[in-house]
Amino acid sequence: MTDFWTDVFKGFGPTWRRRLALVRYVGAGALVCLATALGAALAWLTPLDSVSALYMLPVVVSAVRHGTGPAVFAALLGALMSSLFYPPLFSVLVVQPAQFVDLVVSLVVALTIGRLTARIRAEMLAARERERQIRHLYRLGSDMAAASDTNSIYRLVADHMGEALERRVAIFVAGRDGRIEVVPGSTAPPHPDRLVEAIESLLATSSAEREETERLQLPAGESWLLCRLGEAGRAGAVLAVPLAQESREPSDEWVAQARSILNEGSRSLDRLGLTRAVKERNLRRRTDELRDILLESVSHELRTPIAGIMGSAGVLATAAPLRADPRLLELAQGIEAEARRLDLRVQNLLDVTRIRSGALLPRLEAVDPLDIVNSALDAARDRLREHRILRAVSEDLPLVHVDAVLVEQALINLLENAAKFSPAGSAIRVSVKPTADGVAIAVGDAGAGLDEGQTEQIFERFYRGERHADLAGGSGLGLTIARVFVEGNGGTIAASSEGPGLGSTLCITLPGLTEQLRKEDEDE
Amino acid sequence: MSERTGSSTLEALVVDDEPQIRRFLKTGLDLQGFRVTEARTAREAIDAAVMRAPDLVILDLGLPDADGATVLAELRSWSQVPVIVLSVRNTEAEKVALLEAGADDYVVKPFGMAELLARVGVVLRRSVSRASSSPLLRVGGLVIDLARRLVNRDGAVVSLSSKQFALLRVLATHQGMVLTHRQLMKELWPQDPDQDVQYLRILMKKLRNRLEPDPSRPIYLVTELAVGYRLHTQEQFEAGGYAEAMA
Repeated sequence: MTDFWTDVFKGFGPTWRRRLALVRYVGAGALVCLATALGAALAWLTPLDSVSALYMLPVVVSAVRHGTGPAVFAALLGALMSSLFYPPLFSVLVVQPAQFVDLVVSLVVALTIGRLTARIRAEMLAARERERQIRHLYRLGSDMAAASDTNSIYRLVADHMGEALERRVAIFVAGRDGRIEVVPGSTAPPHPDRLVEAIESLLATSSAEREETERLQLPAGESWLLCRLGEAGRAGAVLAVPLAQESREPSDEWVAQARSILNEGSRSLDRLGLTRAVKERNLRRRTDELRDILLESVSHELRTPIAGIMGSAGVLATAAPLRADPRLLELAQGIEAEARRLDLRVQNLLDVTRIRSGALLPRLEAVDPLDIVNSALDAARDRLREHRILRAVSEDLPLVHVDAVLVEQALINLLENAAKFSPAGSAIRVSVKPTADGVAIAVGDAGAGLDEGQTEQIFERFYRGERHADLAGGSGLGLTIARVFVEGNGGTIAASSEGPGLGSTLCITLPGLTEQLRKEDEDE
Repeated sequence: MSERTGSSTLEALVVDDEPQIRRFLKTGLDLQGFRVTEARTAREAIDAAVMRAPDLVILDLGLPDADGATVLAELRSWSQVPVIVLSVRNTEAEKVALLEAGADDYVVKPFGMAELLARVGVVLRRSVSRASSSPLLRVGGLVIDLARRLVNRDGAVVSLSSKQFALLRVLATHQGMVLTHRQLMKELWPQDPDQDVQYLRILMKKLRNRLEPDPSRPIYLVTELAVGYRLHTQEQFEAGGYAEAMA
């Protein structure tokens, strides 16, 4: 980094300093002339015994105001001019011995005071410089704090940097269409295409792979320094500084200031990132609330009419005129059954939405796994009517630690899936066994079975096996939902098959309670 | 309500803001011989309950002017009228809260009329027999003599521990109705009703082992998932249709 800034500061022309020095000598000379004029005036009024004291004044003033050089100059000039006041008056040609004494004394005074003043002035200048820098940094900081978007931060960095380096600098960013462009408003110097290409490659690579600054030498003899600017970890922009041909070492203060501008810029970009994150989080929370309201209202809006249809059909099915005609009764019962099916579809879609939005919060409690299995079998009874259910339940199952309602829904989906994809009259096997740390519930059907590759695919959303395509309809969401619900409870779900035509088995494992109560009935 | 005579028609109050749901409930209950009053809001519901003194209230939870739970609380402050709540799925916590606040039962929307009528039958019979509760209960092959503390399964006497009998007794005195886990724990462990629900589950498992023909597929002592337990009535037992092949 320091090398970079050393490069940047090389070649700041010292002409203005030389000019300033000359002015100081002229000033010292003027003071001596003033002292001479004063001496002449005094001499005209009254004879002067010693003019040396008079010429001490310009020496002292020059030493204080202009430094050692001009003071020595004033001492020499004063010694010369003092000749005017020694007899013969107003002649510089005769040198008196006293003049030597005067010269030596005033030179000593010039050197001493000059040195002292120089030190004091150096300290004062340093203090002033520090103050200026602090004020500048403060201004930069408050500008940055007020900046509300990345572009205005880039612009501020460019402006302040331009001011600090006293040259035009440019900030390049990747535009919306991927093209590299100069941040508008910055006082950009003209830049060749080769520079843009180099910046493009710099922006494309991650910060870890490249140096923070790079020097680019163009064939035309131009030289640029490129410096990354951006949030931690990724550069969003590149600061380009044209390097002058002439060279001079930059002062440490300037290097520090330029670096602090860059750091301030990067920090502000970080802060902006954080602000953005907070904004996004708030937005997300708001979205969550809206989504909950929406889910609630969709749920209500869709399911209320379904409840109306289903209930009405159910009443019709109990009415005497319909009971008298089996065909009509069948229709009424059909409406009721279809309405229930529609409701389940809606529920599935709502579940998927809930899962997607992360609104699924299992309420874990100690549950008898058989309660879940029985409940699911009861709930799916209508759809299992054409199948034989073969249950195989191990004795002494442990309690599981799950959200019973979610696991029940997963199991219902498994049972429906088994019923849907296996021929009527075939058996659906439901087995419940203890495992090392919980319970395994398996649902096996005598359906088309699965290829090796399908055992994973069937859990993908909207996936329905080709060999199943001609069979009963369905949204293809059932197993996806089952998987999410089971995994949300800390369980697993897996499909297996002996092969095509040999049926398939879906197995859920559920976590047991970490501490099973072994306490017996108090009175047994 | 106990002074009601067999010949008078029963009055049902249906509280729901959805016209189509009120319509089919009215017709369905009409067909069963109920006289039906309708209410669309919580305000109307309370007014009607005061004016008409219904024998049964069917209460939807989503009302435009107040929560159904508010209506229930107000009703319960002066009336023991049976209340069946219409709830939606995935609101187990709400169901539990309502049962504990005094609702007699619930059905989940959308529901079949037959399902609702079965629940209605249970809560009405219970409200009729509340005063003169028969100490002898029969469900399938199960005979429970609460007075003599005897349980008989398929003609054979079953011995139960006192805790097991206590659980059975609570369920039997509320036969046909769901009791929440907490309600049961309060009865069984009055000094410590907040202990782990595991104790109740284990106790229930043991009770089922004694009473159920197949404890892995209970037909008498059934689970209402995430809500509680229920001892079936004879009608519920028959309607349950546990006909699927078992192996």
